[in-house]
Amino acid sequence: MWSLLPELLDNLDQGIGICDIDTLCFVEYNNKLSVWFDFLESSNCLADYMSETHLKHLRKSIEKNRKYRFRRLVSIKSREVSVEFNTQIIELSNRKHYLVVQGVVDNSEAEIQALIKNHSEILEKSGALLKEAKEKAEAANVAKSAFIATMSHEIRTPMNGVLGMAQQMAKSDLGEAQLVCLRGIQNSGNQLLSIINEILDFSKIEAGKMELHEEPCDLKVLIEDVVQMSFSSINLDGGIEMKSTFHQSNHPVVLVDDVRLKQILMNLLSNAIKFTAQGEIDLSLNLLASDNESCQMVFCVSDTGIGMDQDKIDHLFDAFTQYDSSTTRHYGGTGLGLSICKQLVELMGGSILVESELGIGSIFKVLLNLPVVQHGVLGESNDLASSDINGANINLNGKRILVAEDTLMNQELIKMALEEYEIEFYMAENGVEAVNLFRKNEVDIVLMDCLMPIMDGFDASQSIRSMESTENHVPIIAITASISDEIKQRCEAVGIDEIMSKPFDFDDLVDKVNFWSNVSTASLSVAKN
Amino acid sequence: MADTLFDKYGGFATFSSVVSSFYKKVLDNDELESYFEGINMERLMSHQTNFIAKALGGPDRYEGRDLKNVHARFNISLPHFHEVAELLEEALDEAGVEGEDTKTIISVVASLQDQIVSN
Repeated sequence: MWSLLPELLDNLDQGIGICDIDTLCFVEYNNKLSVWFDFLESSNCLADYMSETHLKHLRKSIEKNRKYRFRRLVSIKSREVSVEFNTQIIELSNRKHYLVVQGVVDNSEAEIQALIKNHSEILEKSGALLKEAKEKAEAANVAKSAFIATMSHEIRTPMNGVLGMAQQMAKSDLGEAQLVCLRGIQNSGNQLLSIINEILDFSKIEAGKMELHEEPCDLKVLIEDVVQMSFSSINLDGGIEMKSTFHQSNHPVVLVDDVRLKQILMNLLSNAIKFTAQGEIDLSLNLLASDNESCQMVFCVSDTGIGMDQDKIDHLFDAFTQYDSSTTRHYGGTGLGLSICKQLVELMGGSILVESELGIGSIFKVLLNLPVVQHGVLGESNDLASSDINGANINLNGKRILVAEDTLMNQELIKMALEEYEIEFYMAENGVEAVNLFRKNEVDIVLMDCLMPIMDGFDASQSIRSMESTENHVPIIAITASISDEIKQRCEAVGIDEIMSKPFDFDDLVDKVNFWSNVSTASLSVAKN
Repeated sequence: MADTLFDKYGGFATFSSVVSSFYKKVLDNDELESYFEGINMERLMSHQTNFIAKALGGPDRYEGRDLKNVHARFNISLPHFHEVAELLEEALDEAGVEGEDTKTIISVVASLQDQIVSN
């Protein structure tokens, strides 16, 4: 019945045989196996056809009675194929144990390995391409930020001329018509500046470079300031009322970047003003919860303006989005304001919401959770500049001021801003001249441009600081068209006491020069500490 | 420059085939095979490859769950754990991983014993 079986085995596509467990020599095997192992020409011992590693593992498998698999490349008709062998101990009817060796041609592993390798290479290549693309994009972004910063500086410098001259002109005798023109110049200039600031802020936020500088802040004072400033921009004939509402009588002192918080609220208020023809605009503060450590609050800016439907609200906080495309013409603006507000609020860990009804008005809510500062801390405010300034008490006559500024127009403007006082000016066009003038003359204060030819304001300030003794600290105010954290840090590092941005307000300059030129060296060293 | 064991032996290409050969060995073993009934081997192998990659300083793509939780329901015994470790050692050895490095890798695996063995 089984007489054909040996013949059948010889015609199998698989190789099969049995080995002695100890010697690993083949006892019996079919035709295929003999072809794969070239038995006729050399040894009939399995061990001679295995690598050292495989043999080691095979012996261990026999010892532990495990199956063992190994692969071997064999040539079949000049083609090299991979044969997978598996081995296993069996007991046959003669009560002897043998190692059964079965083999089958299996190129799938080699193919899979080639695929995996290929796949890894593709992954690696696309990873490298991605990295390259990312680096390019980042470089482009850095270039864009640098471009915006440079443009900002380049625009601010001539704007200082325009706005400064307008301020100077306002001091002169003007007829009604000229006053209207002049106000137009000033308003347009200020608008242009706020657009530049918005674009700068936006690119900073986009590049993840916006940093918050938290300081103790009295929210009631801040809100009143904001309302006061916004109120001054309302056209009083328009019939808009503006007020602030406090739901509580006491407010904890909180830690917040007051400049940025003001920016957010001012922006919401100016939006409200922009879209409200008549009625009421209200900025309210409501404390939702507070304990010794933090305080949850909501700022609401509500108006009785044109309102919006849900469709508009959905895209309200996207960059470069306006109420509708035509509003850019009707209402002006970059469409960045609300996008910046939202991102600043989120940077502070808060959220911004809007409720609105077409024709009825809008309510913008800013929810913040801010750390509470122990009471009394604010009283010891280190803000020297604000503690002493009193517009009525200007004492500038007889002061000696060193001005380092490469633009002659800006030199003129500084003189114009201070022309009411008997001041002795020393004018330098670059850092080297400034340092020389400082060395040769006694001065009360230095006004320093940051970017100048030959030697910039940072190096010049550093040289000046290295020349003076500790008890003879001459205040240096940087006046710069570049406003960035980096410039601020560099100013601090070289010992500059105060930074003013260009274009500057004449009254601000008078106040700051007055303050710093009258501060005693003793209080300065206190301030430094 | 290959700084990590993962990179030294050719990264994912090598370790995916080590994992594949390792599981073949595991499934060849009747006692161990029963642990894997109804298990999605493809997913398991992908997890294992990522796990090894992470353990050897390669990329961290392991998204599997906590090892202890995953293995608790299998009641894995210590001898079986050792058996599996030995098979992994074998697979690494066959892939040409040097003895010292294989030892390092196995010691990483051995350190996971408490999380895997529960019987």
